[in-house]
Amino acid sequence: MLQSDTPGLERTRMRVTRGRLTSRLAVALLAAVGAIAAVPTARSLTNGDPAPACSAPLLDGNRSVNLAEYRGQVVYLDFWASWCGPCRESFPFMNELQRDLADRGLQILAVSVDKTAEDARRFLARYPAQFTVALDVAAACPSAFQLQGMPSSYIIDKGGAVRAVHAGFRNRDRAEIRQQLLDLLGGGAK
Amino acid sequence: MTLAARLIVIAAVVALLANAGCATVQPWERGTLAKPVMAMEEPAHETAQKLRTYSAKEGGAAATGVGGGGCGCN
Amino acid sequence: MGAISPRLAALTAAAMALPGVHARAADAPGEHPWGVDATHLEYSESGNRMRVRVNQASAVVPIGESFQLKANGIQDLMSGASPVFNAPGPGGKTQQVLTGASVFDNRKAGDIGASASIGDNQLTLRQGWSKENDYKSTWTSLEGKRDFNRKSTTLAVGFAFSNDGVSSHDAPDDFRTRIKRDFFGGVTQIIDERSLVELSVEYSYSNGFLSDPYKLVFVQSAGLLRDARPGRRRQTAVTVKYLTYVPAIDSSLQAVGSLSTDNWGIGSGALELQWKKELPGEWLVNAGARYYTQSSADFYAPLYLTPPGDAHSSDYRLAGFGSIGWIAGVTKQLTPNFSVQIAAERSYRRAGLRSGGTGIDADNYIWGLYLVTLQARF
Repeated sequence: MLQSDTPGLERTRMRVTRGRLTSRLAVALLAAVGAIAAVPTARSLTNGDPAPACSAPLLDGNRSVNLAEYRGQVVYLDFWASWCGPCRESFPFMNELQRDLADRGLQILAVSVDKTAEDARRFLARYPAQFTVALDVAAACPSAFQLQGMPSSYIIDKGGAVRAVHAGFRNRDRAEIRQQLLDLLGGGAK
Repeated sequence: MTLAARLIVIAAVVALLANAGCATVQPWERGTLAKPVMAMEEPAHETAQKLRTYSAKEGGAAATGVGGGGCGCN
Repeated sequence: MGAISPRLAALTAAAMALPGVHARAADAPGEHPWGVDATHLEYSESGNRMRVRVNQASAVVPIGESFQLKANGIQDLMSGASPVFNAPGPGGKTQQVLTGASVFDNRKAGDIGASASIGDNQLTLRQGWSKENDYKSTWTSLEGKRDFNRKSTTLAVGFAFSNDGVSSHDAPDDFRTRIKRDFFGGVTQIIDERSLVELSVEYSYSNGFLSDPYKLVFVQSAGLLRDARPGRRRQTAVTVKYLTYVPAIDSSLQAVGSLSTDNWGIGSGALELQWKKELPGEWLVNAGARYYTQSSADFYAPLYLTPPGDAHSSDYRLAGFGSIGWIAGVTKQLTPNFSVQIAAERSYRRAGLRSGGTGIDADNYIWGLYLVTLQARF
């Protein structure tokens, strides 16, 4: 333990030790930060990639829904969860899309990554959905789509290719998503 | 090496190991971490008040971040 | 102190869907970006010693989707007797001498801050002020935060600078300067789908008038001297936090350990354990225990038999001591926008629990606090 008033020689020794300590500390911390920051992230899907196969059981139904069955339609595929905060905003938005664009050929598919149906239903009780909802407990779909964050939505064109990826849901995404869908549905403003 | 130096090197090594030994958690597997009981930060007011109490009463550094403010305690 | 997120250690790595997933949306823009908090806290020590009443209010206002403004105000009122020095007592047992009348002190403090969130980065600048009869402080802080690895890792660094003026009741306008620089760095890392760890380091360097103008030291056959501390203080602290969810009890368990050292000879260690559980009806309960120990400063002595060196202090806060206490709290979400929290703490400070150096039993006391907070989020 260092004394507060130290004679000359000890003070010099302390200064040298502190200098060495500082540089060792700096190296150690840089190494730690480097190791932490250097883990590579997976490449995610981009515009033009064919949509991966995805199949999941309907939340309220006996059958499984398969992405492939929507070939020929524009699909808005949304991954959500009961624990995802922004999903409380995205659900009313998707209801709007359903109301406005379903008869123009839009198919919304909201796949939950919750671990239990009970969790998913509890969310839907507060934020009802007028669109197709499925539950993918095994998480095969998000894995296939290389999800980078929650929530994530993918706009898939009539030919089955991914045309837009939205990681997260923010207010400014609303207009952008709507426009992207309109472009693919082949219509002007409604 | 002084105690401080030892502490810091240990801290850096732990940080490295913690990162290396971690299982990769996918974004869709964050449900448990999203639970309210898993919020690592205490409600800030509680922390602030405790900070005032601890750092005012104790000689050691609070090590909880930079809050500024003065010791009005005597 | 006392703003909505005063701690740089608030590395929000959990549930990084987007900023705003947390109930504490005031920390980052999101679905409830507007926030107001009000807190009332009471602290008291056993044996007619200090009592403090604190009132605090904070607000967060979003500016667009990337910016936030924060403001915080705190007012506290302190009263009660305070130890001044130690003197030899009957039977050879050292005793504390306290101020006679109740000392009233009224402190007002506030700070404002601005945060910018761009992508995985966040930058926050804060400016604060504090004023009371015999003490004033101005501080500035800058902190940066960044998420890595799809938000599994969060890194934060920060720096703060404070400039304080210390005077005393005898000469209230005669201020002596004290300057402090604080450096902070921390990392939060998710370990698996139910655990995370946080590691942080803090270094501070203070210089100027670091003594307490109200404290004295007793010197045998020489009388009383003023408290005199070295003009520089360097402290380093390391904290590790581990938080995990235990499915078997549907609760989280958190352990926080910290160690600190400084150039005054004060070394400290602390360990805090906390259990937290959600109950039906949007209740949250937490309970825990805390252990703290420190060794006395090199220049500390309860009293002096021979004249001391340049640095000398009998301040009980620089003595060797330890403390053990409990913590408990309850939070209830009243409506989707309002929540209330009540928390309490009690701790037993004992010279016998010190990790080194000297301490006297006359300095032992029990302290307790309770607080009530109302939170509104829109």
